[in-house]
Amino acid sequence: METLGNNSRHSIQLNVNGINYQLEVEARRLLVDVLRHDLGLTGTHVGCEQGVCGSCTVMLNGQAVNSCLMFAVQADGTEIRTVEGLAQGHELHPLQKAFKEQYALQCGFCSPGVLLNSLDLLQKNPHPDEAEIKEGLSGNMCRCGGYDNIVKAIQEAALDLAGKNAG
Amino acid sequence: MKPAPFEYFAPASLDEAVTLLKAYGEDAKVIAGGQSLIPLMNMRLATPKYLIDINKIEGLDQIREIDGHLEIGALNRHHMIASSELILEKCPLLAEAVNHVAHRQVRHRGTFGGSVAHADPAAEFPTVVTALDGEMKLVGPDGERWIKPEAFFMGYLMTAIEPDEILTEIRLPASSVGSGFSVYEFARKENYFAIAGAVCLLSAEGDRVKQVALGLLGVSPAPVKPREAEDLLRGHVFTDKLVEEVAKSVMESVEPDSDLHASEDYRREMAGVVTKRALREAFSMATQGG
Repeated sequence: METLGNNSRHSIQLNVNGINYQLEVEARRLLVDVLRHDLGLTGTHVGCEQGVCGSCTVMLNGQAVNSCLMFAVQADGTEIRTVEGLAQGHELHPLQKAFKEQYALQCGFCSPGVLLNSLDLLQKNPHPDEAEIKEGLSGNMCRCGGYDNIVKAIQEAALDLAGKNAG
Repeated sequence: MKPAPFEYFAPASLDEAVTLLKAYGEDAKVIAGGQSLIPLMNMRLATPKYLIDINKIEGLDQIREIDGHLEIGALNRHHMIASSELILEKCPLLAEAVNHVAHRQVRHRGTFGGSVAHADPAAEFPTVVTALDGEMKLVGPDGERWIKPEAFFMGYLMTAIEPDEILTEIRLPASSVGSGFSVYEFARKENYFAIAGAVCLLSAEGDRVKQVALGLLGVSPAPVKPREAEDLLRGHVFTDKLVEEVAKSVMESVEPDSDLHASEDYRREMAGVVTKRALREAFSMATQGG
């Protein structure tokens, strides 16, 4: 049998949803597994582990990335935002509110990733049209097939956020 | 699944990275954006014992124009390529290609050099580099060397990079042949791996094609630059008949494989179809867009 490499361990610092964490991780530990298992932030889901389903999407230094396609050691010194960091106390984020109002989730497995990717999309393009939303969400799969309501919810959240920024 | 154990290094300089590669040879793997390598490691199709992360090396993410060429550092991420003013102005075909590469999450992390080094024949960047006859800079223990696409891309996921070398830069001609360009792909779903695709950069003089660069993806073990088809176009009046001839020539120059997604014959047929559509799009842009 082929011999395997040594598993090096590394000290890293992460800022997740505004909280600093000092951690020791194995080199092979994926960022998503550190978030879920070491920090208990199980809102970020693991789906395909190959960058297709998008359910592990988080914001890394303000950009949506697949946390299954990154080793935690590579995230040393970064700021991460997960679905747990969207709501302010009991006040849902405008995207979460819109998803609730438009019934934009069925089983909910894809929702955390869709929410974080949508947040990134709206930050870069505050008024996306339907085609831009669909293209923007190409890296997120909803196995319930509930895409129509997801698109509607993002449109609603865009209006809500634009109003907030204007006011 | 989860990746097999490995030892991780994040060297701060190119010298250090090359020293590590020299020491560990084929047991080591370079990681940049990781968007192709980590899926392989997660599936344990790749089990490197040593991972050399080049993200901390400075100076690999520059984009500059030198002597009519763009020199693009390997660590530029896809979204940086798409938003670089220099690339949008001097190599818009490359910026357009980003719109077809995977998804926004992957474009934030994946790198230009990583995609070229991974050498997936269905990927956009290797094909653009091949079509434009660019050049790759490889740095190893004995110094650096530059290599052209047709020697660099050796086959499916195979390149001329030696185990102790790192791809650091890619050179492309700046605003090489003109004003019309197109990336035309046929895929099962938006942004998925293309069954067949064509990239085209073209300039026109009246109703004639002046200069043209063509590239095909997804239809051979490596990116294809159909030189005979380009010769048919260069200096000739752009007619439907010529476009058909070019497509036929392209279909003869590709070597598609059959797989789950498409048969060999279907891919060959589609190579002709995407060529025609890319050519028409590029020619119309070149003649109308100025």
